[in-house]
Amino acid sequence: MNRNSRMSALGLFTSTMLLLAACDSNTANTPAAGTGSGATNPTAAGSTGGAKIAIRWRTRPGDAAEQAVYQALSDEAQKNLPDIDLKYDPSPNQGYEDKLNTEFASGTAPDVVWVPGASSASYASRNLLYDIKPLVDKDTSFKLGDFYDGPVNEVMHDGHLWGIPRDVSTLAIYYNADLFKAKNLPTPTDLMKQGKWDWDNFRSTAKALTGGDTYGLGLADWWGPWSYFVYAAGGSLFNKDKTATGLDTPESVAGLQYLSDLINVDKSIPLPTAANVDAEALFNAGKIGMMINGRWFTPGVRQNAKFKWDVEEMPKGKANATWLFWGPYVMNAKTANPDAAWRVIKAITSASAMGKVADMGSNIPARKDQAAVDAFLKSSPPANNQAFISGTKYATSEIPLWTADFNEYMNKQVQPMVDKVISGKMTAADMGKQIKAATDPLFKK
Amino acid sequence: MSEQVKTVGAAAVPRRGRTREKVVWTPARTREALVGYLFLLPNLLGLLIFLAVPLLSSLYTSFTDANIFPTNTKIIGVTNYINAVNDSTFQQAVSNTGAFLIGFLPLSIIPALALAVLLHSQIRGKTVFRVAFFLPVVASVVGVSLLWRWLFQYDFGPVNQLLGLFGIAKIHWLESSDWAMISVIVVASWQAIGYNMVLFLAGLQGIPRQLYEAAVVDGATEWQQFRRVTLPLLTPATFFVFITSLIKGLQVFSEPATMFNGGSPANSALTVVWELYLEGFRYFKLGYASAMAWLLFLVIFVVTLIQFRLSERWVNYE
Repeated sequence: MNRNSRMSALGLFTSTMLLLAACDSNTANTPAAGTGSGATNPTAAGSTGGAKIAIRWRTRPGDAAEQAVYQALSDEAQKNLPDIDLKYDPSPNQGYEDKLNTEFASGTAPDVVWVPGASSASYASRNLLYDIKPLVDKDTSFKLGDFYDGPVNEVMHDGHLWGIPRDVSTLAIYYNADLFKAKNLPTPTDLMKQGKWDWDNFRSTAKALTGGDTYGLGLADWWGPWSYFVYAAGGSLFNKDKTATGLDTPESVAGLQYLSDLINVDKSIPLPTAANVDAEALFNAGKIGMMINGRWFTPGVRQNAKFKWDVEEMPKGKANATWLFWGPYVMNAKTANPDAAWRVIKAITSASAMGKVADMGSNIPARKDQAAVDAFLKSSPPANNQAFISGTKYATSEIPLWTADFNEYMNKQVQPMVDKVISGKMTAADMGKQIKAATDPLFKK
Repeated sequence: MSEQVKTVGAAAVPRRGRTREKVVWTPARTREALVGYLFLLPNLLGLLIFLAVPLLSSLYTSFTDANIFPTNTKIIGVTNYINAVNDSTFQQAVSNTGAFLIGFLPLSIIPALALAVLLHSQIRGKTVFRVAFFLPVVASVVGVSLLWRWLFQYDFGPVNQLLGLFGIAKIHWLESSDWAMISVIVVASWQAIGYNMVLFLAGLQGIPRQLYEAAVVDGATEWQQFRRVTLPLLTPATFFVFITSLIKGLQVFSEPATMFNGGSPANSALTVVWELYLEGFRYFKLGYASAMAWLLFLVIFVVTLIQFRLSERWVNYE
C-alpha cells in the first residue's frame, strides 16, 4: 500500500516533470528559433524604470566580416535610440527565406528584416508586411527621393510602401587583367573606351581567352546572369503587363541561344553548376577570364585573387542591359511598435550607415545622394567602381512580381527549361515554344 | 511457419483463439494500472501531440487550398490530388525517385552485406574497420553532401582527378542532368552502407555457430556455407534492411537538396520529398504539398504491405 502510493506519486512526478520540461523548452525555444532573444521577450531593463521597446532586425550577411559590420551598425544605432532595445539577428544565406517564411507563419519573424527585391511582393501580397507609407509621409526628416527611383517604384504598389531599399547592385563583368595581358588582348575597359564593347567582341574575346583549363567567361547558376542575355537581346522575363512569360519572344530566344552557343559551341564557359560557388572559385583561382557577377562578389575577389583585376559594364547586345538587384528593409505587419521599428529602419538606412556598409565593399548604397555614391566610389579595388553606377542608368530593376509567385515561376518552370538550353539538350527555339504553356497556369487571371 | 513467427514476440502477444483471463479490478490492481498509465503518459502525450495531431491536420490540409500563412482557407476536395498527379514536375520527381531507388537499394545493401561478412570473420583490427565504415552514418547529411559537392567538382575535384589517373575523361557529376542523380545515389549509398552493415552484423551474430560446424563436417565449402547457412538465416535482417532502405529511399531529400542548393540541372535530381518541400515552403502551397505527402505515404504503405506479403515466401525465422 505504502509502496504503491509511493510508486504512483513517483509516476505522477515523472510525468509532470517531463511535461513541464517539454513546455518549458517550448517557450524558451520559440523566440530562440530565430537565434537570440525574440521580440516577445523584452529584456531585463524593467528594473531600472520604464520597459524598453524590443526591436529585432535581420540581414543576410555573406560572411563573418559582413556580419560584424552590421553588428557595429546595430550598436551605433542603439546609442541613438535609448528607448529601444535593439537586437541584430543575422541569418545565413542558405535557406534564408525558408526560415523567414516559417517565422512569419508562426508569428516570430523579426520586426525589421531585409528581403530580396523580387520576394518583397510575395510577402506584401500575403499581408505579412506593414505599410510604412503613413510613417514616411509624416516624417519630415526622411526623403524617399534620395533613393534610386527603380527600386522605390517597385516597392511602392497601389499607394502602399512596403519597405525602404537598402542596397542595389548592377551586374558587371569582373575580369582578370593578367590573363588579358598574357594573351595580348584588349580588356573590356579598352574595348569600352573604343566603343567596341559589344556582343561580337564579347564572344570573340571569350573564345580567345579559352584554352587548356582556362575559360573565357564564367557565370553562376541562377536566373540573374543568364537573363542578362535575354534583356541584352531585347527580350524580357515577362510580357509588358507581367501577366505572362516574355521568354517566348524571338528576342528572348535569340539571347538564350547566344548564351547556349558560348557554352556549347565555343566552350568558352564552364557549365554552370548548382554549387554556384564553383565559377566564383575558378575566377578567384585565375582560371576564368571574365565573370558576370554583382557587387557582392567584390570582397571575395579582394581577399582571394592573386592577380590584377577590374570591372566593366556589361557588353552591349542589341541593347544596353544589366540588372539592378536590390533589397528593401521591410517591417513585420505584427510588430508591436511600428513607430519604433520605423526609427530603426531610418537609422540603418541613413547616409552614414550606408556609407559604412559600402566601405566594406559588398554593397552599393540604395541612396543616390552624392555622399553615399562617393563613399561607394572610394571603396576599391576595383578601380572602375563607376561601371556599377553607370549601369544603373539603363538597368532593369529586379522585379517584385504581383501577378504570380516569382519563385514558383522561376524555380519550378523556367530554370529547369533554361538548364536544358544551357547544357545544349534543348534549343532556345524549342524552349520558346513550350514555355508559355508551362508557365501560364501560374499567373493570376 | 506461422507457429514460428508467433514465437518472436510470444511473451507480449496474447494468443489468438483463447479467451482472455477475466480481470478482477481490485483497488490495488486499479492503482497499479493507474501507475502504469502515469508512466506511459509522457510518451503517449508526446505521441499524440507530435505525431497524431500533425498527421491528421496534414490530412485535412491536403483537402484545402491552405498556404503557409493564416488566411481564409477553403476546402477544395481532392483538387490537390488531381493536380499533383497531372503536374509534370511532380511526375518527374516521382520518376527521379524511382531511378534513385534502382541505384540506391543494391548499392546500399550488397556492399553492406559484404562488409558485414568480412568484418564478422576473425581479422585483425576489425573494430577499427567497423568504426570506420560506420562513421559516415554519424556524420551529418548536410556536411557530407557539401563535402561530396567538392569531391565531385569538375575541374579539380578529387573524383575526376582519380578517374584521370585511369585515363577516364572528366565527368560533369553535378552539372549534367545525366549524372546528377547518379551522384546523389553514390552519396546516399555511401552514407547508408555503415548503418546497414551494423544491422547485418547483428544478424550474423545471431546465427548459431554449430550450424557452421555441422556444415563443415558435411564438407561444405566456404561459399556453400555462405549460400546455404548464412544467407537463409540472415533473411530477417535482410528483410528489415530492405524495408527500411526502401522507405528511406522513397523519402530521400537532404542529399539532393544540399548538393544542389540552387536546384538540380533541369530538375534531374528533384525527388518527391524535395518537390513537396518546395511547394510547401518555397511556393507556400501547403495544401498542395500535403496532398503530395499523402500520395507518397500511400505509395510507401502499399509497397511495404506488398513486401510483407512477399516476405512470407523468402524470409526464414529460425
